[in-house]
This record gives sequence, structure tokens and C-alpha cells, in this order.
Amino acid sequence: MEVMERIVLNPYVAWIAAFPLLGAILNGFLLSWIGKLLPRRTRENLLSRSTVHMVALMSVGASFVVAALTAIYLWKGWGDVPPPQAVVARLWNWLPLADLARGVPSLHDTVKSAEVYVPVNLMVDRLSAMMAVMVSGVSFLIHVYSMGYMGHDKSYRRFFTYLNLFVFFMLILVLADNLVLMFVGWEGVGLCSYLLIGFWFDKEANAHAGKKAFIVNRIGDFGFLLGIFFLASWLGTVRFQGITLPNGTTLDGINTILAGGGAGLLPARTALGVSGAFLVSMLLFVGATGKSAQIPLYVWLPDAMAGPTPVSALIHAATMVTAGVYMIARLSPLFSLSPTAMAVVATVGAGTALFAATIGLTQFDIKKVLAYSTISQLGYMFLAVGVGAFSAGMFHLFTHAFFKACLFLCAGAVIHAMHERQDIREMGGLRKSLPVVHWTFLASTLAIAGFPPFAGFFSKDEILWTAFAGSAITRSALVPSWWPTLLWAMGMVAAACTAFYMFRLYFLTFWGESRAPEEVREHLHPPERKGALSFLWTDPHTPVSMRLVLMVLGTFAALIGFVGMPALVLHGLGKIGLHVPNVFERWLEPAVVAFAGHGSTAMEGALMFASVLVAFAGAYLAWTFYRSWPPQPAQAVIAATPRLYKLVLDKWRIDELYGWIIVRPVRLVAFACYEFVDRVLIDTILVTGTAYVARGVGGLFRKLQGGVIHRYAAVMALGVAGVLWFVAQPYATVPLLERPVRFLRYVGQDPRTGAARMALVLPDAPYVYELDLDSDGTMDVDVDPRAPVYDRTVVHGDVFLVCLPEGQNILTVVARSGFNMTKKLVLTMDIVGPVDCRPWTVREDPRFSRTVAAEAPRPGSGQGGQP
Amino acid sequence: MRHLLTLLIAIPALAPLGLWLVPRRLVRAQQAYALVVSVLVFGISLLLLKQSPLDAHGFLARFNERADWVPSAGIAYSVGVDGISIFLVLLTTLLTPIAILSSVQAVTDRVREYLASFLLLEAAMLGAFVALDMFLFFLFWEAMLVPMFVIIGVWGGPRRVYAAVKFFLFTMVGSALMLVAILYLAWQHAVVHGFWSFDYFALRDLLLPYRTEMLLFAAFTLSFAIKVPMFPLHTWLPDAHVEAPTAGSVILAAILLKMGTYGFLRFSMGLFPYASFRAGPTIAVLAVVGILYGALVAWKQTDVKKLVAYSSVSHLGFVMLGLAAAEPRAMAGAILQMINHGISTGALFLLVGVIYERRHTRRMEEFGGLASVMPMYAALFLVVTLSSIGLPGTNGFVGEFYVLLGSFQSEVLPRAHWLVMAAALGVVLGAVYMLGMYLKVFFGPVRNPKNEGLRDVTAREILCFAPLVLLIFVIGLLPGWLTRRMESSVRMACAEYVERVIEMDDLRRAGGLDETQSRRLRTGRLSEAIEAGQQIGLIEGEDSGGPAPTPAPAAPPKPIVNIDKISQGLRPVGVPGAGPPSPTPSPTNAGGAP
Repeated sequence: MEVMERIVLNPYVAWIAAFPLLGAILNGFLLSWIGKLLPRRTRENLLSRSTVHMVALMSVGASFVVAALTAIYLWKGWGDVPPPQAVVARLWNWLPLADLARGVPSLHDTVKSAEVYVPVNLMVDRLSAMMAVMVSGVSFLIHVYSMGYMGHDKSYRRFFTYLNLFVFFMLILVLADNLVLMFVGWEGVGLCSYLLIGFWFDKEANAHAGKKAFIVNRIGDFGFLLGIFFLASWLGTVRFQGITLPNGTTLDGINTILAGGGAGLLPARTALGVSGAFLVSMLLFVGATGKSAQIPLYVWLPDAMAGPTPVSALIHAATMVTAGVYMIARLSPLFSLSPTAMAVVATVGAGTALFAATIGLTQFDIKKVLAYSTISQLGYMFLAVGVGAFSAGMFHLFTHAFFKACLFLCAGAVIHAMHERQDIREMGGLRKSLPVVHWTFLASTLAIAGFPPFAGFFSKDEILWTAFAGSAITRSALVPSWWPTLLWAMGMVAAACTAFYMFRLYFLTFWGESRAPEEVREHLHPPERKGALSFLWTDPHTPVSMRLVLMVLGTFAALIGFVGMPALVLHGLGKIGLHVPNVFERWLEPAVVAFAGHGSTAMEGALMFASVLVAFAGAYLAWTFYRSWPPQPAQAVIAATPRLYKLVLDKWRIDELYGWIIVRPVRLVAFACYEFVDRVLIDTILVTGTAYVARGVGGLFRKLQGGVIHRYAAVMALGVAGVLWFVAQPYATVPLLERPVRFLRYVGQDPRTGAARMALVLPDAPYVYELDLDSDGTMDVDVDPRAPVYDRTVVHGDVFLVCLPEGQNILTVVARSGFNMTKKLVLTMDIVGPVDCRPWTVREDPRFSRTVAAEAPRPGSGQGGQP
Repeated sequence: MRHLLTLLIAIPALAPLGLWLVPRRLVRAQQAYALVVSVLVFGISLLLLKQSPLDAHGFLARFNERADWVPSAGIAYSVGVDGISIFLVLLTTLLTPIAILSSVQAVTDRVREYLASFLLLEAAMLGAFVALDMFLFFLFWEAMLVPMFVIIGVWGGPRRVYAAVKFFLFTMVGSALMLVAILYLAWQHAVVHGFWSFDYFALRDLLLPYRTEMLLFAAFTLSFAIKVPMFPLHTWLPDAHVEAPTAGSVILAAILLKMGTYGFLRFSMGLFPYASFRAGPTIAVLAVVGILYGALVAWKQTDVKKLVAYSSVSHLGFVMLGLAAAEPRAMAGAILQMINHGISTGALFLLVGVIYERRHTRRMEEFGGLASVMPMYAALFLVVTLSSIGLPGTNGFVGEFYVLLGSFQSEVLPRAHWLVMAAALGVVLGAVYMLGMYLKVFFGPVRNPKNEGLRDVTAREILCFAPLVLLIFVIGLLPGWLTRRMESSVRMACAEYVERVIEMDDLRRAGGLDETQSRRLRTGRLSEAIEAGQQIGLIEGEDSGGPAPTPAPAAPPKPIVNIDKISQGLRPVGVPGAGPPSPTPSPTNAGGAP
């Protein structure tokens, strides 16, 4: 597709982010402030629940509309206007860092990196347009769902305020045209996640989960921030894309610099012994592991399920947690520079995919299972971007948003119907009473497990296939050639686990007999049947808003995969005359790096078959294990491996491990800092100790002041003697300045004759000096610093300049005090080689012509007037 | 306009007299009077924001004032404001009315004296920020101490006397040394120029031997480091904060601590650039230790106010790091961070004061679940907490970002990357202790029945917070509004610093000002000697005494003394335009001699 290399400046795209912010402001405080000014009735209308959700829905909906229109513009252009590469809204210069450093001299001769420019610019290109449409679209659906789900919550307004605020920050993250602004969104979504996890803050566990999420994310953000610093100081920019302003100035961006052959700006070897690209990629990846819940920073996400279920669906499944993947795709030229970094990303991704899937096998909390499945699926996305399949990673991100949101919302509906019960051991048989939920859950489960032709099949298959080919990471010398195969194998095992635990969840929840407590069960009667599809509108357990959203998302989960069908399928379709492109890949083509070099079609077919087989195997195993309750085959397996099972059930006890190796030591250090260093060492020993010493010394002096006259006299005599000795004994030191320096550029070695000049600085105590200039043992010159000028010497105040005869480098100085006591100092000049001589000459004094008599007068020497 | 700064100092200095005209019983009237005065001062101080041409030193020429005071000793009344001090002045004038307003209910005892202390304190603080005469500065510096001592000692908590004395003694130790240093400097001026001077700019131009410079720098810096306070001189701070009344804490944290960082920037770095260059790494390491140490210790606190006090140690570590880095962005960040800390920590102390007023305790375990009882209060607290932990979009982020980014590229600090990494860990720890505290106080169920009927913030309290919360976002989103005004001053300060460092380093490289050899060298006299030498014709200069005209020689001479790595990378000698700031007029051509 022809893409114009063209940036269009249009402030209106800022509305994509501004609408949700407006919604948050209105719901957050503005409406209630306005309400205070209004009469009571109007106020009640204004502050009613319907206003709340209308404001929230309209703001997100408007944002979706603008995002979608912009996406269409990027795709097809607008009328006669050809589609641009990106649409940018330039808002304001947020951090005018550049102005500060201008004109300040550098201490070293190093060339300062170009000046960092951090504007608030929102950029919609194909990558961010896709994300913005997805984020605002899914958010809109979840807002609708929340109307029903949160309908009876007393903090309805607060909920929608936070939700809108989240959408705003997420859109900032997605649309930012530079890393720092992305960081604003990055931390902003973290804040909203914190607020929403702890939404029901009166339960302490929820509040703790929120805090944990924020802090673990901050650890990641620490890496992100350092990555920004390194990039900013090496490349001198934090912007992603270069941009040509209408006035013709070109601004560089990270991706343009790197893609344009500027990779050399990143050092090939840093102080840590790794390449600059690797270092920055890894630091940014640390940020990604925090936000996207990868090993080692995934621990917050399962706990985050403490939040309301729509929040889990929106933030902790569909949107926020994918930010890490998006960031890596956004910086794909950077990550591509370091195959080793890519290999790390891929390995962490595959490892997380497998690791989280194993935990998912054993959990009983419906949301926890989904949480681990989210971590696992995010692992797939990192595997994809790690092996260079940026487009495939984004595709999985895209499909995952729909089916995982759907799964969570189904779980929400189940929890709703089960009266806030989340344990799947208490469920069972819900397919009859919750038919809509059942069907949409099934569709999404098929999608996540990778059954063709549901959405997850296409995206996951492409990832596994690219991982197998692995061309992007084997470029690194550190990555063995079998590594991609290992990654692929891990992905396959994880896929089997995924199919198993998802169907386990499905069977335990929807099949078998109901295991719910009596008081719940009596509410769970199936809807009236008035026709084949009547359940779609008669389900009594799920509010209509929730049902509608589930149906939309379920449909997407089933069908959305067709926008990105793999080459093999497309090829097959081409044979039967259906020429459809891989829309998704085409769409992202201009925005991310693509690696060529896939393997053969036959191999792709074989792998595809294998992954389908694995999905069926997992599902079948789940069927045999969990078809009935109690699940005897499963219990037999558990009984065979009790310790392993307990370990996995305890989530491999990673939380405890972190507690031991990180949290406790830091707590201990903090304890030591406060109790020992602060209280004992500083405050008691140093501060109070000093006070005691002061008091002791004071006491000593008090004794001296005892009024005893002869003691006074003795002290006075001692003092007088001391003073006398001080005056009598010369303590002179004669510092020697033997090199020309800026202020002493008059002195030094004469370049023509090699005669040494030296400057002396004599102490200003009343001494008289004798100098031996020619080292013959007799004193040549007497100097009284108070007298003005002598030949060969200049005295001014206590500063004293001397010329030594040619060839001499030793000067003997005798200082004589008023009491005729002397002190002898021998100074040796240490001038070797030519001295950096300024264009200063030392004019010969006619009264002392012996030294340089043979010297021809310099042209300039006659200018100075003689006294 | 001409006497604006004098007016700013004089109004709060003289206004307390008026308090005694109001009858003792009319407490409200006294409070209203003090409030009106302080708001008036704030209003006047806003005039500083008017565009003004800059003078040669980067000060707003329109507001400079200078009058001889004790001419024989070179003492002058000299005040001025530049991009560094202007926002600190505004912060002072903004926070004083807020502090007065916040204590309308809390202080009922000796209100008149209380209000007078605050007004006098404001006058002294403003004076210290704008003084350009070292004697005047010292006068204001010491004058600040007294009202604060009284505020803590009279209206403080149970251990107020201990805290007040500790505060007083700590500060006095530093100021005594600083006084000696100031006198020595003025005397040196007399030695070189023949007359005494306390003028900041005159003293700045003195070129001192390394040892002397280092000693004087140490004296100044110790005094400022206590005030900041830097680790390990910080232990007076938690005590003072815990015992001080709310408004006292606000002023102490928001402005008095800034006196230390401001003093370090203006005086330690301004007067002794080379010494601060050499000491820069040490200062930076101490600052980073302070960041981490303050955060860790804050985490262990059970008293909310003490926690905020220790968080100040951590936050001001960022400021000191930015200053020590001597990089324009870091320096601007440090100034921003001073203001940010004033706003957010000031607000935090006010917020703590709100519950203290209601419950008369600040221990975290007494609270819990306040978010459901006092939602508005919880929201305000959250905003300020987020600003304190540097969430992007709030002011805290901008300051920290500038400091860290600037320090990252600092040329002064060796291994700046590692320092910044360690400092950035402080950002993580900041979230740990602040959110931990927030959780304990606001989340969870309301366990303590005493908390059930607590009143949410009142209109008066909201009035206190509103400007601060507004500023949190304004600075967070439009920091350019501030940095534009500090730009020229920061650039000038940095350029001056760098040039002086290069110059002094040249000297050291050339072996000229080696510490053992030139212990008593006073350059001013040397240049006079050289001039004398020219006049008698012993020495002749080929150029007419301007800056050294030649470009640098290719290979600078091998240094005799062991100069560390930093100096190795310094620019070679003879940078155009970096002539010696000789206090005497440069020697004219020898031809001009008699």
C-alpha cells in the first residue's frame, strides 16, 4: 500500500484523549460544584446516576468516534487528500529543557547531545490509531457493562470518574509522540489501576493489592526512567518519530535516527560491557515487565483482581497491561538493534507464558485463573515482539483484548449471579441459568485456547510459527541456534496448558450439577424459554447492558481473527479464488519493523496442525478430568504428586521468595537506619555526645577561672613565652611558583635563553630575606619585603619575583627574624623540557646584564618606557 | 517599583507593631489584621513577575536597591532578586498567609505574639532571599532563627523546649562558622583592594588559594547543609517538626529548609565555584545517601508528621543532587524542586494539621478508613501525596525529572549514571512510604470509633489548600512558565561556575596553585606585583592586558600534582573569553608606565 511520508498537523486528534478527561473532570468534581449553585431539584437531576453514566459513556464514545475517523483517514485519506503517515496534534512545549542548556560552556570538550525537547504532542499513526480505536472501543463496551455491574454501588460516580481518567491516561500513553509523555500515561494508568484495585478500600486486602500494584509498577518505571535518560543523553531526543514541521524544520526522533543509520550514536560498548542498544532496551523492558506483568514483576496482577470485575477486564486484561508490548512495538527499531535484547524479551515472554499457565492449572478463583491466563497471554505477546514478529505481537494484543475482556466480563456476570462468589468449586451447571454468558464464554475460551477459526488461533499460531523460525534473535552470537526451537516448545506446552485450564474453568463453571450453596441456588433458575433464541433477552440474572456487551465481545472473539489470517491460509484461499490480504499486517506495515525470512510453507502447515492438535488435547484432557464433580482423574493426579501440586497451588511461592530476598532485607535496612543509625549513632552518640564534650570542656575552663591569682599568672607567663617564641622563630615558608600559569605568565622560562624565572611569594611576617641566586654559597641579595625594588627582583607587598641566572635552578633563601634567628630554605626548580610559554618576554634589566648580555633585543623590547 | 523589595521586607517587619494597637481580647481582629497584611505582601510580591530588564548579573534591574550602611566597613543595604530567588520570595509570601489562616483555630494562646512571630519570620526570610550583601544576609539569616525558635518553643508540643533548643543549637553551630568565613572574605577583600566589602559580587570576584577556598566553602556549606538538612546533619528536623505547631512546620519545611539549598546555590557555589566543584561528588553522594536514607527511615515512622519530616530529607536530597551536578537542567530542576517541595510538603503538613486538630494525635494506628469518613480530605491528601511521590502531571515529577536528567549528564560528577540510578531508587521508595502511610490512614475499615464522626475539611481549610493544589497542577503541566524566568539566571550561574572551574583547574594543572606551595598566595597581590614589575621594566607584556590571546597549546604541560580523572578531561588552557576575573584592572601596556 502506498503510504505518503507525510505528517499532518491537526489539533483535533487531541480530542481522542481530551474527551475522557473532560468526562472525568465533569463527573469528578465539576458537576457537583455546578450542582451546588442550582436549586435542589435541578441538582438532583444533574447528579443522578443516569447523568453520571451518560457523561462517562458519551465522553468515551466521542473519543472512539474521533479515533475511528482518524484511523479511516490514515487508511483511505479524506476525499482528495491522500492518507498521511501520521496525524499530530501539537499542544504545548511541556518541558522546555533545551532552553536551559543553551550557551552554557562545557567543562569537558565533549560535544553535548542535542537538546532534549519534550512537547505534549499526540500522534496518531497506524500503530497508535489501532491502539486508540481498540482502547476507546473496548472501554466504551466496558463502560456500558459497568452501568449494569456497578448499578447498585454507592460510589457509582467515583467509579466512572476513575474509569474515564484511566481511559484518558491510556490514550495519552498510546498517542504520546515521545517517551516522556508516554511515561505520563504509563504512570497515570498505574495510578488509576491503584485507585480501581483499591476501589472498595474499606477492605484492607483490596487497598494492599492496590499499593502492591503501584509499587511493583514503580520498580518497573525506575527502569523505564533510566532508559529514557540514557536515550536522551545519547540520541538527544525522546521523540519516537521524526517530524517535519510546516515551516520546514525537521525534528529528529528515536526511530528516525535509528532507522536512518544513526545507530552509531548508541555506544557499541558501555561501561557495563554491553552495547548501548542492549542497555536501553533492557531498561525499557524492565518497565514493560512491570506494567505488563512479566517475570519477574508479574506478582501484582493476580492480586489486582481485588478490583471490580469491569476493571479487571478493562485495565488488567485488555488495555493497560498490554502497554509494555505496545512500547516495544513502538520502539521496534531500537529493539531490533540488539538481537540479544530481543532474545531476552522473547525468553522472558516464553518463560512467563509457560510459568503463568502452570499456575493457572491449579487455581480455583475464577478471576485468578483468568489473571494468570492474562499473564500467560502477555508472555506470548512478548515472545512475539522478542522474535521480531512485532506485527504478530500486536495482532495477539488486539485479539486478546476482545476475548479476554469477554472472559472477564463473563466472569463478572457469573460472580454477579453467584452473589459475589468467585470459587469455581461452588459453581457448576451455570450453562442453563446463564445461557448468554455461557455461549460468549465458550466462544472466548475457544479463541484463547487456539481453536480455529476463533480469533486466538490466528494470532497465537503466527507467534509460535515466527518463534520457531526465530530469525531475529539468532543474529546474536550469544543465542544458540536451538534457542528458537526451545522457545517454540515452551510456547506449545503453554498452549496445551492454556487449553487445559480454560476448559477446566469452563467445565467447572458451566457444566455438571450446581454446587452452589442453597441460598444462591434458589435464585439460579433458568430463563423462560419462549423460542430458540429467547434467552438473549430474557436472562434474569444479567442486566441487559451486560448481556449486550457480552454478545458484542463474544462475536468479536469469534470473528476478529479473520483480519489477520496467516500466509498459509491466505495462500489456500487464493487458490480457491478468494484473494484477501492480511489486513492487519498491511495496516501495521509502515509503523513497525518487519523481519523477513520465514521458513517453508510445509513447515508452517505442520506447526499449525501441531498447535491445533495441542489445543484439542488440552481441551479433551480437561473434559476427562473435570466433566464431573468431584473430579476423580484430577484428584488422582494430585494425589500422585502432592508436593508439586501444593507448590503450584501456592503459585510456586514466588511472593514468599520476594518477601524473603527483597522486602525483608529492605525492611531490615530501614529498621537499622532508623533505630540504629538515626537514633543511636547520630542522635545519641554524635549529637548528644558532642553536647557532653562541650559541657566537659566548659567545666574545664570554669575551673581555670577559679579566681586564683597565681594560676592566672602562670597561664599568662606561658602565653607570653609562646608569643615570644613565635615572634623569634621564623616560621617562614617560601612557596615556589615555577611554572607559567595564567596569572604568572610573566614569569617562567625564557624560551630564547632557557633562563629560569621564578616567582616567590614570601610570608608577610616581618622577616628579612637573603637570597643566593647562583648557588655559590654566598648570599647575593638582601630583600626587605617592605622596600620596593631590587635588581633582578620585584617586590610588591609580600609577593616577590626573582630572575635566576641562566642555567641555575636552585635558589637558597634565608629568612631572618627580628631576633636574628634564621631559617634556611633551599628551593629547586623543576623545569624539564620546553615550557608552555605565553607570548610574554622578560625584559632585560640593564642593571643586571650579566645573564643575557649576548641576547639580541627583541623587536618589542624597546616599547616599554624605562623609569 | 523601585523600592519594592524593601517594601516587601518592611511591611511584615513593621506590621507586628499594629497588632498591639488591637485590644488583646479581639483575637479575631488580630488574626484578620495579620492575614490582611500577609495577603497584601503577597499581592505586592506578585509585582515582581512584571517583565524587567536584567542587569549584568542576571538580576531584575528594576528591583535592585543599594544604599551604603556602614561605609567604613563596606557594609551596604543591597538587595536584588533574580530568577533563582524570585520564586522563593513568592513561595514565602504565598505560604505565610496560608500558615496564618491555617492556625486561626489551632492557636488560641498568646495569639498576638504568635502572629507577630510569623510576620517577623516572613520579613527575615524575605530579607535573606534577596540580600546581596553578605553582612545583611547574615543578619537576616540569624533573624529568622529567633521567631522560629519562639514558635516551636512556645506553641509547640510536649517536648517543645528540647526541640527548639536542638534546632537553635544546630543552626547556630553552622552560622558561627559562616560568620567567620564571611568576615575572612571581607578581610581578604581589604587585603587585596585596600578596603573592606561585604558585597556579594565583589567577594565573588576574589580569587583564593585552593586551601582557603576549600575551608571557607566548608564553613558556608556546613551551615547550609545543617539547614537543608543533609544527611547526617538532619536529626534536628524530625524533632523540630514533630513539636512545632502546624503552621510552624509548614513554614519550616516549605521555606526555612530552602534557605539551606538557596544558600548553597547562591553563596557556596557562587563564591567558591572551584571548591564546590571539587566537593561536588561528595555533596552528591551525601545527597543520594540522604534520598535513600530519608526514604527508608520515613518508611519506619508511625507518626505521620515525622514521616513527612523524613520525607523532606529525601526530597531535599534531590535538590542538593541537582545543585551539586552543576548542570543547567539539573540546577533548574533543583530550583523547581525547592518550590515543589515547598508546595507539596507545606500542603502535607497542613493536611496533617487538619486531623491533628480534630483528633490530637498523629499516630497512624489511631486512624484507618478515613477515606469513607472524610472523602474530600482523602482526595486532597491523595493529590498532594501523588505530587510528593512525583507522579507525572504533578509538579513533583517535573522537578525530579529535571534533576535526574540533568545530573545524568553532569560533567562534574564522576559516575553520574550510578548516582542517578541510586537516586531514582528513591522515587520507588517514595511510593512505598507515602502510599503505605496513605493506606494506613485512609483505607481499610473505620476501626477506631473516635474517627467515625470526624468532620470533613471546612471551607477555611479548603481555602488554605486550594492555591497549593492548583499550583501542583500548574507547575506539573506548565513548568515552562517558571523555568522561562529562571533560565537566564541559571545559565549565568552555570556559565560562571564552569568558567571559574576551568580557570582554576588550569592553574592547578600548571602547578601554579598547588596547595602545598601556594598556601598563602593571594592572586590579587601577585597581579599587582606583576604590574609593578612591568612598570619598572623587568617584565613586559606583549599584549595589552586583555584575556590571553593565544589559543591553547596542543599539549598542556604535565601536571606535577596528582590531578584526578575529572581534571584530566578538562579543557586545555586558554579558552577565549575565559580570562582571569582579576579584581584589579588588567595591566595596561608597559608603554603607559612613567
